Amino acid sequence: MPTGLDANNSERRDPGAGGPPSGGRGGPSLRRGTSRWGERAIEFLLMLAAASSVLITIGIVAVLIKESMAFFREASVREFLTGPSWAPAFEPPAFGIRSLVSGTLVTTAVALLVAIPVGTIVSVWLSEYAKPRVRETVKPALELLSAIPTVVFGYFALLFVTPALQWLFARVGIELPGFNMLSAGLVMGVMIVPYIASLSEDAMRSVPAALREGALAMGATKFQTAVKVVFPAALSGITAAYILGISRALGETMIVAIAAGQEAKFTFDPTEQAQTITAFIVQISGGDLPHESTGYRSIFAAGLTLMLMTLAFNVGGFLLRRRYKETY
Amino acid sequence: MGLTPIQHKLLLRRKIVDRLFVALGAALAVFCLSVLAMMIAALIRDGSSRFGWSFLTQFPSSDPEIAGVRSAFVGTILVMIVTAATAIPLGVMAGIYLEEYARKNWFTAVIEINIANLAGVPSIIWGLMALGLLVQYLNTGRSVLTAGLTLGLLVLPIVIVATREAIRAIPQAIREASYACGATRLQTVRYHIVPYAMPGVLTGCIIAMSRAIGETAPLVTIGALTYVAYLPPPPLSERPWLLGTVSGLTFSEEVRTTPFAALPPAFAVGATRAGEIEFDVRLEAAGPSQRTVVNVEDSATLTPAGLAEAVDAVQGVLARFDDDGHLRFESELDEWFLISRDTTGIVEGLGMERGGGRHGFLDWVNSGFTVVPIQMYDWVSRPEGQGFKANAAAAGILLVTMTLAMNASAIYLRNRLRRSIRW
Amino acid sequence: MNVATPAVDRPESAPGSGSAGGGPLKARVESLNFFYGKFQALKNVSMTIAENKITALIGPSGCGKSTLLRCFNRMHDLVPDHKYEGRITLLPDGDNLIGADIDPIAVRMRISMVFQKPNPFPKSIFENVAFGPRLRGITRKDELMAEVERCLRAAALWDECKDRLPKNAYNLSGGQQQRLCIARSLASRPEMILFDEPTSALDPIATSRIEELMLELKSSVTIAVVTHNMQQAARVSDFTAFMYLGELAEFNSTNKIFMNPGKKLTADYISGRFG
Repeated sequence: MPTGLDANNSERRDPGAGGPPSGGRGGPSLRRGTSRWGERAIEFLLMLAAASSVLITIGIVAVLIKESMAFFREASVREFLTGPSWAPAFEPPAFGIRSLVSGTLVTTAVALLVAIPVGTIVSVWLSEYAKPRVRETVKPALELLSAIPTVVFGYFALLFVTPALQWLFARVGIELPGFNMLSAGLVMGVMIVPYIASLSEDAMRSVPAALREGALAMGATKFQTAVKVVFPAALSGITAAYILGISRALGETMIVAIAAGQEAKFTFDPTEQAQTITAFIVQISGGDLPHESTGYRSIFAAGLTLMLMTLAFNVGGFLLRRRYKETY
Repeated sequence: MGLTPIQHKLLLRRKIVDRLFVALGAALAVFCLSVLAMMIAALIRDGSSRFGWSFLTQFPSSDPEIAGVRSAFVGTILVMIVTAATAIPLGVMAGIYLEEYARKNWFTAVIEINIANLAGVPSIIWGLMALGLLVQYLNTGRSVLTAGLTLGLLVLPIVIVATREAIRAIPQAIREASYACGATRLQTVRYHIVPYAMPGVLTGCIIAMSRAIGETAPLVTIGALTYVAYLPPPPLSERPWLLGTVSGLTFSEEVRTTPFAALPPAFAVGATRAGEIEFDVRLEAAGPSQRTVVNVEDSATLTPAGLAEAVDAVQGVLARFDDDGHLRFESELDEWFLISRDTTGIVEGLGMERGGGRHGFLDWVNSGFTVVPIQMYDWVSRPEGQGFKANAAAAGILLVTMTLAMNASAIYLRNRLRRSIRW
Repeated sequence: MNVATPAVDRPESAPGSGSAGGGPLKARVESLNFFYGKFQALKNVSMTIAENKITALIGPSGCGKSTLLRCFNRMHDLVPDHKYEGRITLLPDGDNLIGADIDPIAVRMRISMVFQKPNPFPKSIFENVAFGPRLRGITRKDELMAEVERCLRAAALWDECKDRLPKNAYNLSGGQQQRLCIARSLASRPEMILFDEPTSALDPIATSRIEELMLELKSSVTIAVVTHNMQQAARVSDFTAFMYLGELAEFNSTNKIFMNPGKKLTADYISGRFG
């Protein structure tokens, strides 16, 4: 009968198991020995690593709030929300954020007008129609598109798309300025298409085949099946994709900083130049204002505004998704 | 088939719609990919004239013909090292904890929600956090360290998700087998989970790094310099410069907290040689060396006014004050003096100490820096008349090459993976 | 169906008295209850495991036989929300295997398990078997080699594998992989091996090789086997426990259970009236 009484057993490095077998035992003691503190320590370390994410979020929130509060001690909240112009570097400075918000919203809207239709159609095509070979090639290729750094997109927008649009607009007699929200928005839209397409396609592919087959068996074409059955079934995931696209567009910096301009203007005309919240932050932090000044601190207030906008869209999206969540 | 003419027509119409849709979908996909191709083509068209060995080995300059990405390229690599050192250990450990150790309680839920949140934070907000927390509060300065930490935290969610997915792919049967052999949880993780998940984790890390390479906004926000004409000091390299400390000068609080680029040249360190005053305004340890040579006829023109003019010709004096209010600087010049615009002329009698020696092993981490996307952004933002378009495009070629290479290798790795361990 | 109490027939075996057919016992199960969350999977099970004999656990799906088996090596500890009640006394120590003061890792070093679907590690054959010894601190190449050879021989796999120890275990056939898993389970020199439907994923030839192996091993190791295959239980085991809906319906020597079951329920199951 094999006994566990080998010398080997006591060679175990941790003091937990093993230990001298006492009389009347078939093997090493089963009792919990001194707890494996080495293991506990490592588990603690791993837990800290995971919990760091919470600390990071707290850090972001803390910084934004602290600096914004410092900002609002100097500038009035009323002016911030309703003031007509944004000119933090002037004397006296003007802190009405609506110009930046309009810039952000217009560029985002232009981008989404491109990204949502194109992304959705491409995702339906990829999920319902494209042959597996085609899908295996196109999907990674689209991922490559989203992997290009945004400065390159900005370069493209400024030095390729804008001249092309200017030429186009000239033929209908409109003069398009060198910096405008349209170019930036369009290019941003193309950049976001892979995000929307990829996530929507994943959502649609996880719709069970049984649902599709049911529709097809009744004589529906693929298009009708896709539109009437698959798309609604995947709506929750597709909405998540749209929300991601919106967040991405709101937070985008380089494309708009390069191509949309650095002049804050309250306008909803995409053919005009404007400055987004993100472009403003980049402009000031790369510039001359002293750190303790109100003008400088305005970037934190602007950042806070951006976060709140993003949060609003995310929460709205979450609620929408809950309404449409399908269980099958 | 027994369809009435009306039914037949409707069916035909539906089929046409179907066909049209396929065509539309494919066309739009092709459109997007052609945009990708056009972007790359535009970069190549505009930048191939400048792209080359000299472009990679030259420092930036005000002359577009010779301006290069040497400092930016090295800066990118150094920042990537710190980014990887931050994100990979932290992310893999967090992923292991969440998959193998965490119990399903509120604490775990909070962590998971947080990670999902962080993945959606716009990159500029990361820059603001880094500015407030690292640069201002923890005082890590506008250094490679700050940049690496910021980007590391930015891509952390990517590493965590990749780790978790790689671990989830391991079947439960393997874990059971390991435990049944008498392994503890740590032993199971160490001998089985980590090795089997490694390829997937690696793929995720490559993707994370390629994302970090292209990030511009957070780094501009923390104040990465756009004109950097030096390299961070390699470990243990010799300090060719003398290190001095100046005491006794008072500067206002405002001056002390102004970003250096804007500090009006209130003083400079200069030395006279025959016929010229050479200013070496490298007033920060490992800061950029901005040498300006101002010609003067002879030393007779070293009048206060003349000096004031000379000082004005100096661009961008960099000051770094240590905790005692002393100004630290380095200078290669042997004989030198301080010139201050605010006083009547040469400031003498100030306390000066000389230092020297070697750079530390990690001095590069605390050094100022720039990266390729910032360099490109700087060049793109200049008015077209200045002629930096080709440089910007060339920098873009470099950037795209790096990111596409990393992404392609990650995709390749992922496909190799699918064929290797079949569970 | 008369399943009122966990009846244990006594004519030849007396679980409470420590002699099942007269031989020494390895373990004694006393009033074992087990809960997954709110669901009670085992109800008041009491039986004995005879030393150096093969005890089979049979019964229809969901009767709790695998659950009972996994209590012996504390595999349920891996799942959150589980609860043990009662005793499984390991002899001759006298410790309660499912007691809170007992270290599950230590238990698993002395009681091994072979699973239904062969689950070798995606490593070399050598490393698969060497894992157990490595855990116990053996690092010298020659010592490991000796252990690996011992285990592979005991699992009747040495001749087939001795020339390809560094090769990946996944290249072996299903039957070979299962024997590899048996070799792996022998590496920690266990006193008891638990087999959880070890041959249900294998073809008949591989199955009979495994059964031969079990019969060889029993002289040095106590064996408990869960099986869906009644003929296998009849072929291989010395004692059989028939379980139904979480209770032990009948426990006796295999001969008695199959030839002359004490309960109608048992007889019905054995003859295939349900299951």
